[in-house]
Amino acid sequence: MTTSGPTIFERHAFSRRRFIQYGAVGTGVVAASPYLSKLQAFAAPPVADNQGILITINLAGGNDGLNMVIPYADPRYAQLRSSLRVTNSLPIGSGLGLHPSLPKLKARFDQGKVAVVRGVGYKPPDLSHFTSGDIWMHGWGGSSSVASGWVGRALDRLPNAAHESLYGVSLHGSVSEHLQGDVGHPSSLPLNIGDAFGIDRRDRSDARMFDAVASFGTGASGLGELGDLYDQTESDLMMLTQRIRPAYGFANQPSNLQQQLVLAAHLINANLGIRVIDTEIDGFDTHSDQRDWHATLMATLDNAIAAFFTTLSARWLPHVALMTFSEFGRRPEENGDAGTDHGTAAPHFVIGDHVRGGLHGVQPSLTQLDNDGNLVPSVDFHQMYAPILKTWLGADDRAVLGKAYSPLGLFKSGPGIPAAVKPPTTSSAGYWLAGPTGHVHGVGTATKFSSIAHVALPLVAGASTHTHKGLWLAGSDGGIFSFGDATFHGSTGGMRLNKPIVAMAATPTGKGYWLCASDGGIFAYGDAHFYGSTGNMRLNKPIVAMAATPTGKGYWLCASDGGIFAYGDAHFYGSTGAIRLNSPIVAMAATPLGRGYWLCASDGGIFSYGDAKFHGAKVATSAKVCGFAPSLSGKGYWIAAADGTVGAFGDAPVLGAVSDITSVLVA
Amino acid sequence: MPLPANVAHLLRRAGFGGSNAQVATLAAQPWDTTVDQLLDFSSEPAPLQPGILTAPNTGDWEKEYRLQQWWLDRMATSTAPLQEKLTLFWHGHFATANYKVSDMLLMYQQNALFRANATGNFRDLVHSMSLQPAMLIWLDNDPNVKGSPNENFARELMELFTLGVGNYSQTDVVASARAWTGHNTLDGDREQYHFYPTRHDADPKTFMGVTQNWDGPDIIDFILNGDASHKQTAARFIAAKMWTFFAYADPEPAVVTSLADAFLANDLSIHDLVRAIFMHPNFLSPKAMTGLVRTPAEWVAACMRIVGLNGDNANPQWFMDDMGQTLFEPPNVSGWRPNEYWLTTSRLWARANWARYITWQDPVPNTLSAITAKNVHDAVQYGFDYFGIDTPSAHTRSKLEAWLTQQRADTNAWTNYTFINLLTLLMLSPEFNLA
Repeated sequence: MTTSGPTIFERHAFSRRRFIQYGAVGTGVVAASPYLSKLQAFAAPPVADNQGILITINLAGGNDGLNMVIPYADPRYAQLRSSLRVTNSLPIGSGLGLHPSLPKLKARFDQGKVAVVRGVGYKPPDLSHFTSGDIWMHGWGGSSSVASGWVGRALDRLPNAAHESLYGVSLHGSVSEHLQGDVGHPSSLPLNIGDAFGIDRRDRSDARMFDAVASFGTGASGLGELGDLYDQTESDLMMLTQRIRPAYGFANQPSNLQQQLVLAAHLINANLGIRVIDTEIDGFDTHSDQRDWHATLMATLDNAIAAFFTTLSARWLPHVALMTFSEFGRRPEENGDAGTDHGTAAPHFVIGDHVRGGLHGVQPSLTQLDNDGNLVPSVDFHQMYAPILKTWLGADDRAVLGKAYSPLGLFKSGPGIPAAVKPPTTSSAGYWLAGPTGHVHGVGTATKFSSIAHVALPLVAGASTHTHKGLWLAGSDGGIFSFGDATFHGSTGGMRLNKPIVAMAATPTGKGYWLCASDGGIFAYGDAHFYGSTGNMRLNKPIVAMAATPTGKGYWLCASDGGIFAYGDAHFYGSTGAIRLNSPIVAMAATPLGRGYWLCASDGGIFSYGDAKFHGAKVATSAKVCGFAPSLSGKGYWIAAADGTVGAFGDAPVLGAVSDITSVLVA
Repeated sequence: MPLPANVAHLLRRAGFGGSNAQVATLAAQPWDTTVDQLLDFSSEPAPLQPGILTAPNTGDWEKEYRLQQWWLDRMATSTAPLQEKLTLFWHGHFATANYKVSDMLLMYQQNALFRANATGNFRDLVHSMSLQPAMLIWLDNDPNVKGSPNENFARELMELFTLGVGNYSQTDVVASARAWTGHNTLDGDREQYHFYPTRHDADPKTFMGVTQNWDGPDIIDFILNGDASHKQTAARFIAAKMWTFFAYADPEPAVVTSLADAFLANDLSIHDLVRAIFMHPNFLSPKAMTGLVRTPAEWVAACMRIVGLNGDNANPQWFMDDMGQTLFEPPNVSGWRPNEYWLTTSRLWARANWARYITWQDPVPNTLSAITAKNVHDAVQYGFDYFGIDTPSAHTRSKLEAWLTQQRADTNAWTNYTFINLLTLLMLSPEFNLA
């Protein structure tokens, strides 16, 4: 590396990252796998109770670490930084202080949620932005060379990584090298989506066009593997637009980094299964007039991180860690232009509720410098990656990094909430059984309501309120009957339906519900929103059941062959679509966390997916099964048959049957 | 006489697609006549340097997007589209990006070299591009001086530009880096190449086992002429890469051999290599017919050609970054990758957004208004014809017909939406996104 004489980057602000070549040139690209999924893309398993999410913040251009975590007590610092020294830093102990433009981060540090890792670098140093950035982003200590980045290799090990575009996402335009896997394909998501293609389905002509694009992916293209892949990607895209849409729509933020980090928080809140989010702030190549410039960058960073945590839902706090990185630090001795030249080691932050706050590593000496006058690193950056990989992302750090590095103790505990503080179960239990002609029976703790006097068309579906002190019942014409604390928000009773209503689900607030027709058409009322439907698709089998997610921001539709269609924040966990069923599916229900569901067949057969557990099947009757409902804990369920028989499984208590024709079970 | 479908395939690969009328005309003459006509660029005089490059008070960012528009306009309208296609190939091969060069005049000069020498002698092209300021700056030969050699250009010259990885040693890289010392830009004017004898390392160096006072250009002459084995390696490397650009990825060794033979027969004539590709029987194999995805530049140029929009109205430059291909900004020195590289959701999303955007730009919206009077089958066929989709799959046809049937059943829908949306759907059809 030549350090004498100016290079282009010393005359011009460093503005964009370069991604070094990797992989074969022209040829040797990984062949397309046959694309088999149908409406099952982006079925990334959601972040589980014990899994972590990482946000990387690239301080691109080479951040001046000595003026971010300032050794104010070292007299040598003032000598080296005759004009650039910061004298009003915010002390964090051991003679160090944070830059005065980082007050919010200082407050977080004081809460024990910020690890300051000192002296991070590698040997021998390289002073080129690109080469050094590549070294950091490859994150590879193995002997052979690799084409991928350290985060990408960790994501490669997740299920279905080759086809899942939401495990790793970039929010700064391009997909940085550390996100690139050997098999995975991370996405770059826009900072705004506005009226992007496929997003706004209010216009019916537009919606039909989007559905036509999505329909390219149903069936073979007849144009070979690339044609199939193209069609499938278009289909995936049309689903993705609806998947990520809930994360958007927030107000514009005062800086680009803040826009990225606030979007990151919304994406996490939307529970899309994203594991790593890459963000970037440029402009750290401060060769001249550094003081104000760097202070502005520090303030931008401080505000953006604070805005991230303000936006992030408390539910996700235990799952999130942020880390900064940069291709290198800067020269301890300032240059003649009130700036600093390329350096080596620098401090970095790892931030989160489960982070072991405080100082890590060793502060590099300001007197024992290397031959270029730069700091000698005390921590290899791989040692910072190792615990992030192992503890936070659950990856094999040694395999990902190509070598065993002694990990820093950056975390107090792994991600997630300990099982002991999970939502409590309730001891009360009950359910309603309703017959086609309007009879309503309350069993157990379920309130007894009067039956309906006049039902024009048979009752086919129902849902309880969030308090379980009321319920709605729906007729096949979409007429709605409300009981207890359930209130009426609208119905299809006065509409001419193409197909009958067959299923319903309620939002968690009790202030809205969806009705679903057998063609998968969705009718949303109250605070229930439309997230998609199969209304424009040609279904093999009719829709027979639906279930909402616990957030009320999504739902599943289930066809009689067990095919599952997931919308909004509902994830696909599996279906009986490929199984030849003895009896058709007639009911479904989601688990309390919404991370799985049960499908119930008319012979009482149960199919459980995701975090739904199997507790038994079949009801002691020859009558066909008509209803299925889990207990409040989700650790058991009831199955109801048309003759009023009810089977109880798991922790669902035996509460009794009714001697009446039954078509609906609501718990 | 050739099949029309094969002619249409040739026009997509050798250019940016053709009209049905062109296909019909060319299907009435022998294949090699058409190939030779495509290789004859005499109808298209060398372009004048766009005035914006030297316009006062104009930022380099503005010059850059104007040049992107200018080049896309050429792709869409040139009477020698193969020349633009090859210019795009060389841009991806000697991939140089303005985010580091920061001077569009230098980027244009490189682009003009690629165009002028698109089918010339490969060795001449390598010599010329090596000494242009764009490359000197891009791969750090600008500060490469005796005593502190920079290996960046020396390595890529062999790894990416001529021989391919594994066909040289680190010792060769170091020796070549020393040979290239002193080949810099002029002090005080980086738009000029200058050789500084005092910065050149004139000591003996051992390159590929030969010890002598190597100068930079000697390295090129040795690899591409002096040493038959390396020349053969380079010919195969370039032949395989160009086949991947025009036909399909991972060509069979026998295909590469026959192409390399043609390339070598007339001392690395690019013209002869390109001709051999289009004349090769495998160029018309089923594998070739479905073997490539259109790159964003090819797809955008094809759309602009068909709907008759120029870059100033179509503004593709605001969308192509998200599509994954910004002209004059390859992501790295190895250029763009083919096929699957383009097929990610965010990249196809950018295509969809632009396909929607331009359908509302005058005079585009009424392009397909004639379908209003046609039945569903004829209307969709009219759209295929308009887009030069000569052999649509039954799958795509059925999806478009199903869409049009439903759209027409909606009596509340505005009629114009129907033909405007068909335009977008055809741009997003798999046929139109494969090359």
